Amino acid sequence: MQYGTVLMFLFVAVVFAVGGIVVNLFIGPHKPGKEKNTVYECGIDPTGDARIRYSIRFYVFALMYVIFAVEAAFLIPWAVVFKTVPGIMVLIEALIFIGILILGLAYAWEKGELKWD
Amino acid sequence: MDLLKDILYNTDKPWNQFYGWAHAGWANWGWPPFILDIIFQLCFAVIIAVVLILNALWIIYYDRKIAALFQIRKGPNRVGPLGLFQTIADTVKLLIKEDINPKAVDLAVFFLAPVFIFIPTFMVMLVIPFGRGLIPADLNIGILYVMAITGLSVIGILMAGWGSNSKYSLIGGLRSAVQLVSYEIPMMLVILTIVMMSGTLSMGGIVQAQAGYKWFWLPQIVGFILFLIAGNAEVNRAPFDLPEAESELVAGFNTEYSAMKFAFFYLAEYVNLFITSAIAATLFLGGWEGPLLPPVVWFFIKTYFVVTLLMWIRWTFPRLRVDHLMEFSWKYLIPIALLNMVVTAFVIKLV
Repeated sequence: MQYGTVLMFLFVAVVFAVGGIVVNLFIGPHKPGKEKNTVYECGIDPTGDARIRYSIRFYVFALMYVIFAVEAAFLIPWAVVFKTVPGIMVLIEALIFIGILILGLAYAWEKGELKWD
Repeated sequence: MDLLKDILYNTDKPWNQFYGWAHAGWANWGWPPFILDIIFQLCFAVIIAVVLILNALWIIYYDRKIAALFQIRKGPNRVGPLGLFQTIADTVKLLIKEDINPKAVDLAVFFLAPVFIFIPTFMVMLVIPFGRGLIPADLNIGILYVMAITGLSVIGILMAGWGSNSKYSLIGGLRSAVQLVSYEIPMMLVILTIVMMSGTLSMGGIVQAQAGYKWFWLPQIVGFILFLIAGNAEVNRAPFDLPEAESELVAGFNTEYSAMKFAFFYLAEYVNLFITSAIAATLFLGGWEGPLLPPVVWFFIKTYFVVTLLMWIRWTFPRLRVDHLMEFSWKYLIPIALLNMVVTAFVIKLV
């Protein structure tokens, strides 16, 4: 019942979004022109392709994000049972895990990877 | 009278009665019960779609009025009483405008990007607890579902930036994506801390854990502030509105979009604002809990309190520079969030 609702929401969202755009295609005017169909570049003709090389920084941050996202995925089951598991071991184990992670962050910081230049 | 009171304050009870009654009637007809469930699910989805649209119409008007208040001007005041119908007029206008597809764009990606941005914002509404029992589906992985689904909107933004084949769009899309992923991490860590304190992932469960006015904002004041900052960055609003910094990037990733496609970007932005505030209200301000008034009303009061707070921040601080923006997340927010988590773990175990 519950997870079926997720699929139904996905279905309604797709219908809603695609429907809106398609309705707009039908009732809106359609008068293409040479100037109108160029991409915007301060009013002059665009020079060259837009898919140029861009800063490597974007990839570095994306990579760092993956590390932290996976870390959060590992911590979620721990966080859910944290209160119910008796004893101090559950805390120490997580501290080791988070400690390694902080070490990684400190290393990246030291290496200057967190700087945007 | 009792029924009305139940519907307002204790929606679970009349709903379960109605659900059982409908299923009994359905069994008499001799049709398989899952078809009725599918009809109910479709009804939920359509109701949420209507709520989303009405709420978006209101929140856009509210945003413009608050902005006007901060800048000592009047704001929308021509269409309808107090300008209330301004957003409807804007929507109709966008619906009948020409949909321009520049020649250089990648048509499939260009068309799908607004759809991909809208889908996650709509699907997150599934687990927002609007009131006692007023939740489309109280998934047992609620908050994890929120994190997973909101993460998907990055794909839509990258698609918009790449598909447009415009330099402003590409740079705006990349900036937006890197900003979203950077600020998602402190947000996730704060959410993990809340999960630690409540011991459940379900949104209803988190509200239950705060029952008796033990709201999490006081013990988690650091987490609350971190969540507001990260949430403000997630919805691309000033001081974190780098992706659509109009003085340098025209309009960011939606530069090339027009008519209804643009409308979906705009809609998604404001729905995201509402969702971030709603999640903040659920995690930190006790969700729908409150005296006298019905839970739904309390939920909207708290949500709009956070919305107003975010708008206040928006009109108070100047825009950050892109390098400051990234360093602020990685060098300040993430270490503080990790520290906050460790301290919370110690307090829970040792005190």
